[in-house]
Amino acid sequence: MKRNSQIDEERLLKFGKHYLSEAFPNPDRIGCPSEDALRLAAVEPQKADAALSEHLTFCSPCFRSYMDFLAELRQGQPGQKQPLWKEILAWPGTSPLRLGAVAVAALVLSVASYLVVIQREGPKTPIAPQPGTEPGPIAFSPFTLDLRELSPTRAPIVTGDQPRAVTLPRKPLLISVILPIGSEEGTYRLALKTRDKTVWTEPSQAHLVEQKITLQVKLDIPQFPPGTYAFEVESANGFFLRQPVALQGPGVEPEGKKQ
Amino acid sequence: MLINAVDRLGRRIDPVVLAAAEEIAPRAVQYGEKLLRDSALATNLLEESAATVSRAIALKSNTGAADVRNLQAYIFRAFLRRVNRVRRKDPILANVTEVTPSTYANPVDVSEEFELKVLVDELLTRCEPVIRDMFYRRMQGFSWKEIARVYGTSAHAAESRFSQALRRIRKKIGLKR
Repeated sequence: MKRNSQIDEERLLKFGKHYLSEAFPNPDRIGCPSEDALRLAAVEPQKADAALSEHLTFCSPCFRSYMDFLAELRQGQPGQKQPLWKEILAWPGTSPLRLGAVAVAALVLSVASYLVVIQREGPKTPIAPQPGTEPGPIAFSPFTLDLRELSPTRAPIVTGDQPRAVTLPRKPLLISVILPIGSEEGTYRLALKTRDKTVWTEPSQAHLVEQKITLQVKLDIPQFPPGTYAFEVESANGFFLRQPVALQGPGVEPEGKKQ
Repeated sequence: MLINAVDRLGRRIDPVVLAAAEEIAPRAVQYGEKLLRDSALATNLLEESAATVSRAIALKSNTGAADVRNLQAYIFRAFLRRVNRVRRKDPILANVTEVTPSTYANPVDVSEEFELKVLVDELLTRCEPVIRDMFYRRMQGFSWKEIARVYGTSAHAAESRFSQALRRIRKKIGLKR
């Protein structure tokens, strides 16, 4: 045995990792700590039980798990991404000096290109923004659609007299739909349909508000062409309502139940 | 029962230590058999280790020294040291490898591998938990700066603490720096 040989740290670390990962199989996992305890020890070793550190000295499965947690910790928490500059710096062959040189070269090229374009086309006068053209947040007007007069059915087949169509104002609406007495709170699917297709659908939660089962939904009416539609309310347990609604053309004042 | 309550030298094993030794016995004997080519010798060494640990614990309780944190690990590491001692005396056994040889970078000859193994075993047995964890983190590629951040110290202090511990152990087992 070479007693006087110099064992450098790198070799010691490589051997140590290999040795502890392989030499102590523990198929029955006798005395093993939980995964959470190992993760905690990786993150906050000072708070961890010292017995755990000793267990790692003779249990290869736990040692490998601990190494995995340490690797995760080094790369940042799972699910968390490193900043872009750190990732770029981690690329092989990159150094802050090289990156700086590349950035300066890119800047010089951009300035040179800009000057060439200016010389060819002449300076451009910035266009002032036109008043009223900037898109702002959509304002939804409240509107109540009272369906208490309707009788819910168990299927989307409506027989007998059709209810009279309710005219909806041609603007974005926050519609409060009041369901018939006896309706239940919960999730409903709302839909706006023409004769042959669904043009809009959205789920909504119904709640008891002032003794009425009500659900709310935002509907940007101007996006739909004028005409008569069916406004349908349906629940998973077979509850079904259909209310005809009329969307009028621009400039026509509706007679709905505007609040 | 895989091991006896009294070792080969007639020393009694404390019942608590015996229970812990019984739990690790299958793994320890399997490990020892692989390196010593003799399961009976491995069992004897485990019994001796358990008896020594029993005495050490009795001594610690008499002197008020710190308790053993992980009894199974303590016995297992005592057993590893005995196995290393036997192998050191036998050049043939010293050439038996316990892990797939030469799978780590820079292949070294078997005797150097044994030397590394003894050093790692001694480091893990003798050093305090902080040093042991620093060793684990270094194995996973942590820089001293990263380790220092975990322990709220400077990179230089962390490195110096680890190097001193390693130097002490090298000196103790007769390895020069």
